[in-house]
Amino acid sequence: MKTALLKLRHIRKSFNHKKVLNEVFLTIPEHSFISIVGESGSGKSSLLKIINGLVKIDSGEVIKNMKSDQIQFVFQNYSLFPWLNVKENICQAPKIKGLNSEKIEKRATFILEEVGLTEQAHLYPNELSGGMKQRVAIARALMMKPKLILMDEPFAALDIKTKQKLHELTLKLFQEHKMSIVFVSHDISEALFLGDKVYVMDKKNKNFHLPMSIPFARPRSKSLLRSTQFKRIEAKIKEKFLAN
Amino acid sequence: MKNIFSFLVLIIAWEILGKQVDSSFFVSFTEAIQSLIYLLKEQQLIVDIGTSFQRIFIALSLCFIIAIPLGIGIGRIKEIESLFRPLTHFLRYIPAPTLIPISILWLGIGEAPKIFIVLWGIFFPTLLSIRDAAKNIPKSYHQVSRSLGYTKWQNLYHVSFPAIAPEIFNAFRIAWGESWIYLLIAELISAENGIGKSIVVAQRFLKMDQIFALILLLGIIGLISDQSFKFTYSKLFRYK
Repeated sequence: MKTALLKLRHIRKSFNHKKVLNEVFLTIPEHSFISIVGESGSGKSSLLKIINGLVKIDSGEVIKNMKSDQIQFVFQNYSLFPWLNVKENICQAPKIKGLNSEKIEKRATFILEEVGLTEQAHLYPNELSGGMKQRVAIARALMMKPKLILMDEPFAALDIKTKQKLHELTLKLFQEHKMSIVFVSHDISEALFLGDKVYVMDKKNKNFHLPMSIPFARPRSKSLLRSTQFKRIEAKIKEKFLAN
Repeated sequence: MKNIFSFLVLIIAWEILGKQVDSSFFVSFTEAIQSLIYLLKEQQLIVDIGTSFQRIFIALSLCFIIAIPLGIGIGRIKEIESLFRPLTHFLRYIPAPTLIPISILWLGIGEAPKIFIVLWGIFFPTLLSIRDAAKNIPKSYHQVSRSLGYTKWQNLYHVSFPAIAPEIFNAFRIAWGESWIYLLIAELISAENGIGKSIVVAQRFLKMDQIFALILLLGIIGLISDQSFKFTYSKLFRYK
């Protein structure tokens, strides 16, 4: 039985008197990949920000079994600091926290290699493609040795080919770093391909439909996307999605 | 090449016009250059240039020492904004030259009133530029910084400040140009030395060649500084 890294209980949140989340429950076990799908404005991003402490809840409970800097966020718009090059972007936080510079250097070299950016280490964000920028954002999160990474529609702005490459990279990193990931998307196929469990936002009730456990073994390959079972589950999730 | 061409056209037109018009009203480019060389050989102009630069340097330093923290504060913290906004809008509409008599009465005839006039003239536009830059820092930078666990001071030093550094540099560039206007106004009215004072002296003795030499000098200072700013900007902010 995996221990829970994080638990959300009875979460309620409104913005300007408009209810966004109501009685939301979520448990994130260790080394689990949770996908959350829902249409725009259904409260998915707010939920991630609540987990990360960027947004305060109106009521409920967020129980964390880790330090707050072990939760890292990967945003859709990359949010890299344009005045720092790739390496500086990923090393800034550990340096500020006063970690050993030799260790930082070693880890940065290792992680840059993992995400395939060794040669781009000295480039600035404006010299990178969208896919590369997102790799930097992921690398920056990994530098903090996170137990949980929150990904807010990280690949939504990318073309299909780049998206697929980043799916493979995400899965590889998930396996190697043994962290948990909460992945928010409006792309059902993507959420299903990556996740162990898929939660569909219920826009009417402002919480989740019953989650769906995904039976596909890991490691997963692209061929999975063409299997009948994948398409069957995808159709089921789509049904819930459209029932909103 | 086009830039050089426009300068050539200006110089040729200046030269032709200077040869046609009475020299007590207008002088040619070569006469202005000769006069400038003469003035530079006489040590007084070098002293005047040094004095004007010193006044500008002090005014700019004071301006940025106050405007950077205050601008960031007004741009980022609502309480500070509501405290300073009405006052800023009232004060910034008082033109610097109108304060010359008061500044002389209060601060005497030394360096202080000239520096005060320059400071008053450049402070509010600089403050507002920095405030706007601080206000427009993308929200996501702060979210990333919080997510990475930065404290407020770490966020200020490592995120907010570098995020607005290009705008601060541009504000400096603008303030530098503006400061010459206010300095010359202050020096024309009351000064013992400085480039503005040299213009007044030349006018008093009807030395038209020296007036044009000094105007040319101001143009050259402006051109050199602008090119230097451009070069420095491209080196400092190559990510832009």
